This record gives sequence, structure tokens and C-alpha cells, in this order.
Amino acid sequence: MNKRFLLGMKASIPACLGVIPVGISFGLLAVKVGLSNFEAILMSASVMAGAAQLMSIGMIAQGAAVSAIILATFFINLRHIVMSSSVMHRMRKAVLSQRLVGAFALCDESFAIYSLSDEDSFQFLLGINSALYGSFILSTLIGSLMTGFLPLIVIDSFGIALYAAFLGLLLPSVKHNLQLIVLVVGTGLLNWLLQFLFPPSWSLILAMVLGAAIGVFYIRDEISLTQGEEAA
Amino acid sequence: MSYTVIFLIIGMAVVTYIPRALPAIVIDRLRLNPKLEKFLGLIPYTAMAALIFPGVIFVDNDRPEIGIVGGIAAGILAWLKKPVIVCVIAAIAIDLLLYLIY
Repeated sequence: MNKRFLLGMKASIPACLGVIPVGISFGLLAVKVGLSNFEAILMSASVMAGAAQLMSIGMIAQGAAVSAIILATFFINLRHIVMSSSVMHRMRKAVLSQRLVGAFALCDESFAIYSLSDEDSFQFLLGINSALYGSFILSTLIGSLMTGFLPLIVIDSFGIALYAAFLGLLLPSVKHNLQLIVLVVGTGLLNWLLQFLFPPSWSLILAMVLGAAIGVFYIRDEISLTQGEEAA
Repeated sequence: MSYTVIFLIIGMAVVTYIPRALPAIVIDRLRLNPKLEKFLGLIPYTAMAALIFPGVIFVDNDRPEIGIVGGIAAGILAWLKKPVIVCVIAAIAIDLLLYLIY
């Protein structure tokens, strides 16, 4: 196997340890809201974006329209355009087909690892992406199978799991920035208010877009894209 | 297998792949307005926030304390930077306890 590919896999081990809990949570919750094991794994294998997938599960639970879920997914993953343009610029010696393959599983974690490394080959990115992708799919499988042998009262208690997962992703990445905390709390309240005017899934999209737009002017600190790594 | 779910998965995969693939085709670095870049960077935070509140209160429609107590437990652990899976397991354990008590 290619040396650079292995180097990429090795560099992504710490990030894989972060991806695994997200994959397990997703697999478990996906099956809980009614997806089959296969559908849960198919979603991880084709979308490969933890936050967006967890969000889709939350929206399915609320009975959101498919169009609303897809639109919300688009917004939450739009930031990858910035990460990808930075990675692709460094990887410009690679041919188009390689770049398109490299873009497929390009996530916050792979962007962070690739950007912080001196190595910039396609094989290196492929190694990073493969390790993260493999960990994510495998952990989705584990999570989706877990619901099969748990007693019903335990399954009932899983309603909170989605929110616990969101809190676990969000709080560590905002706790050191007071303005960000204010923005996050304000967005939650805005979402609550908007629910009196719109169906929940649309108020969610409006609140996240409006909240981020207000944040552009309200937050003075630079919001680097890798800072959001934990929140994504 | 449900066609709605398959359609949803395909739709999510397409709208996720487009922003990842576009810069691979347009090789010259996309020069985004810094404000737009900041906006995109903030989206994951505001999305998470809107997902949590007020939904967490309605985890169990008849018993708001299920969501509130579980949420506070997860929130404290998250604040202490515990891994996501630890927050999830602790919140489930607390709610399980509440359900078992009464």
C-alpha cells in the first residue's frame, strides 16, 4: 500500500476516536426514529456528515417534510465549500478524477488534518478520508445494531440521546467565547419564537440562517472554520 | 425499504457533495467574501442551538422534566468537555432512572 496513504490513515487516528461516538449515536437514533439498519448505514456511506445526519434524524422525529430536511442539510454543509477550496488549491497537481474522489468524504476533520500537515498529495488525503469514512460507517453499524438487544424501557429513554449528542457537540466548542454563547442561546430563543409563526422544520432553518447572519455582525472574533470542527 | 427515505438520502447526499466537489472542478481557489465565510462558519453552531431548543423540552410530550433533567445532565458533562458518547449515555441513564421511579 502507498506510503502516503498509510501516513494519512495514521494522522487521522485521533480524529477517528472523535467520529466513532457520533457514528454510534447516529446509528442508534436513526433506527429509533424508524430507519432500517441498512438505511442508516446507507446514509452514513453516502452523506458522511455527522451533524447534518443527526439533524435529519431530529427533523424526521418532528415529522418534517423531506424538502425541509434536504434544505437544512444544504445549509449546514455549505461551509465545506470553503474547506474544499483550500484543500483543492493545495492538491491542484492531482487530476480531476482524484480531486472529485478526494472531495467526496471531505469533512471538517479531514480538512483540519490535511491543512495542518506538510504532506499535500492526493494519496495522503485519501488515507485520511478512508480512515474517517471507515470509522464512521462501522460505528453507524454498531449503533444501529445496539437497539436490537436493548429492553424497551431503555429504548424509551433514548429520546434524550439526540439532544445530549447535540449538547455534547456544541457546548465544548462555544464555552470559551461569551459572544458565541450569547448567539447560541439567542438562536434557540429565536427558534422558539418562530415556531409560533412557522412549522418547526422551517423555523429551524430560518433560525439557523438568521442567527448566523446576525452573528456575522455581532461576533467580533474571527470564527475559523476548524474551530467549528467539534460542532460538526 | 421506504422510497421516501431513499429519496431523502439521495437528496442529502447530493446537496452535501455539491459544495465539496465544486472547488475540485473550479481549481482556482474560490475567493469568498470574508463575511460570507464567517456566516458559513457560524451555521453549525446556530443549527445545533436551534436543534436543541425548544425541542429538548418536548422529548416526552407528557413529561417535560424528562427532557429538562436529561438535557441538564448532558449539558453539564458537555461543558466539562466529556466525549459525546459519555453525554449521551449519562442522559439516557438519568431518564431511565426517572422512568423507573414513577
